[in-house]
Amino acid sequence: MEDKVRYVARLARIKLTDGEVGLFSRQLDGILGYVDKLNRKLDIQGKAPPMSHPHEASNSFRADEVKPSLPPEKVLANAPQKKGDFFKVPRIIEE
Amino acid sequence: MAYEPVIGLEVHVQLKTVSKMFCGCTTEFGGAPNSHTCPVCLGFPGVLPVLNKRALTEAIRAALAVGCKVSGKVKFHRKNYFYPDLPKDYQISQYDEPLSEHGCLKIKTGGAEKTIRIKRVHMEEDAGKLIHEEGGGSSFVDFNRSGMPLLEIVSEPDINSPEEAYQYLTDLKLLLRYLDVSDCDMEKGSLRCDANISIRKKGEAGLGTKAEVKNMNSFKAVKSALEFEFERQVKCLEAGERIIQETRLWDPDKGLTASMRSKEEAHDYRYFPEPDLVPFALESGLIDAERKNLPELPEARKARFVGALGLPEYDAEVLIQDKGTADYFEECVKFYNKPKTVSNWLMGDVSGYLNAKNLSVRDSKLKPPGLAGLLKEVDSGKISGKMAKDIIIEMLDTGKDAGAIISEKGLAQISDSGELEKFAEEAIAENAKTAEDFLKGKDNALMFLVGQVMKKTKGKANPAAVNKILRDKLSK
Repeated sequence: MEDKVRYVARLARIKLTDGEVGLFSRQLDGILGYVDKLNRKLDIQGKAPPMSHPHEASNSFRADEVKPSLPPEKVLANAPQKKGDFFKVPRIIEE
Repeated sequence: MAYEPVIGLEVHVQLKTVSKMFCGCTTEFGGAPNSHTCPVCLGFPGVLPVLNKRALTEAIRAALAVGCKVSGKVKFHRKNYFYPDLPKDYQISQYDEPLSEHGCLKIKTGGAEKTIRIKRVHMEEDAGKLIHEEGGGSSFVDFNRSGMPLLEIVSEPDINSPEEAYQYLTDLKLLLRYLDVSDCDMEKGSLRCDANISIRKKGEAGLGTKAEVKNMNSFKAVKSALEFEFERQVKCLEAGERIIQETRLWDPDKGLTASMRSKEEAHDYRYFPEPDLVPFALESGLIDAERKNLPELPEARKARFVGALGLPEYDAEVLIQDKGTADYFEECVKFYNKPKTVSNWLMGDVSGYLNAKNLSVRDSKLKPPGLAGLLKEVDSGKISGKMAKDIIIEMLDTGKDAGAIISEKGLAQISDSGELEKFAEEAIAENAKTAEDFLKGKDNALMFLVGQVMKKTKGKANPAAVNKILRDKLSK
């Protein structure tokens, strides 16, 4: 479990101390162990599809209509760095 | 040993909506940086995306047109990765249950027809745009493109040459244009293509290690990049090396692909169901309604032009390549029912003029009734085909109708035999030797005499009439 915690932390760009890795591993073990109990007690193979959302819905969409965008000063109000109307970030090297 | 390439293409097209995929910001191209953004497409906390219905119906139309089976369920996933052009740090996309699967596109290369299977067609949102500071240490982000509705069309690895890839893209673009679901303009980024390519010995069925090639900004570039990449992989194997699975970027200036510095770890996007968008079932009947609303597609239209209108295959193929031209052609035929004649003029003089001026037939001043009017004047003998060629240029320039130009310029042909006989007699008298040659059996001599009469009438004589009068006179 500790390896998994470190891997996910790296993917999520979160820095964890060794103590935190231990703590989260124990907590996750507990949660997964609890869910696994259901797996062992209940036979749902082929009886219920995995559910990703608690309620069913149909046709949840909006009409294709333009609404006003944010004024530029609001768009950039929280930007740590900006240049003109752009957000400014450290250079990204792609090639 | 001969090798063959095995190619699969991933095409992204921007759907033609007025607002973005999950918010009401405009999809208009251009605009000041970040002026088409709102809390949803900027990824501010606490906002809720809501799907644009038009984006969905256009996606369904495209999926149906390539023969995909459309799922009755709409479900989105989050694709997680960090990049400054992605403000939420995830892209809303589809994963295990895409909108549609298992379609195909028929293409023709070198006379042979081939079916390229389409694995899936799904919806996703676009990311923003990065601009790198020249020589500096910063990049600038414009989120106007963030949240634009995209359709991803993924082919199976059924493409076996760069030419087939080019044809697939050409036919796919034509189809999407007919459906009117995307502008498919590569320059504006509304159509993008990535290619997966591996090689294998001819006759083998397995798949080799593939490279993903990106950064092609035209169909031609896709073809060139694939040609280069095929050669590179062949050389690699022949030198006893291994192909590495990697992403390579096409460099159009140098004409080669180069490895993108590979990231220290393989992508793990940690896809999971997007909790902000409830998976939902499509109202029954929606898919069928879209199916019924599909317009006539290029393939069917071509068949009709050949079958019902009697056009040669070649003409039909050329005309359907642009929906506007094909529509225009059909309108002309409504006013003048000789399809082949209309096609000759459209493919010849009209398209020559329009191409030189970089105009589309829709923007031209010559309207279908005008062209039909001109062709009727030719049929009636009032003007010659040669005169019509000059008149049509003026019609294209000014939008005047043929009749007006003919009478303004006094261009009507002289078919009146009395007047023509006078000129014919003059021509014979002035060219006695030529007339004699004709009588001795030199048929060409007559053409010279016809030319003389045309000169006398300043090109206004009806050549067929002149020909007949001269023959009659000489054989007396």
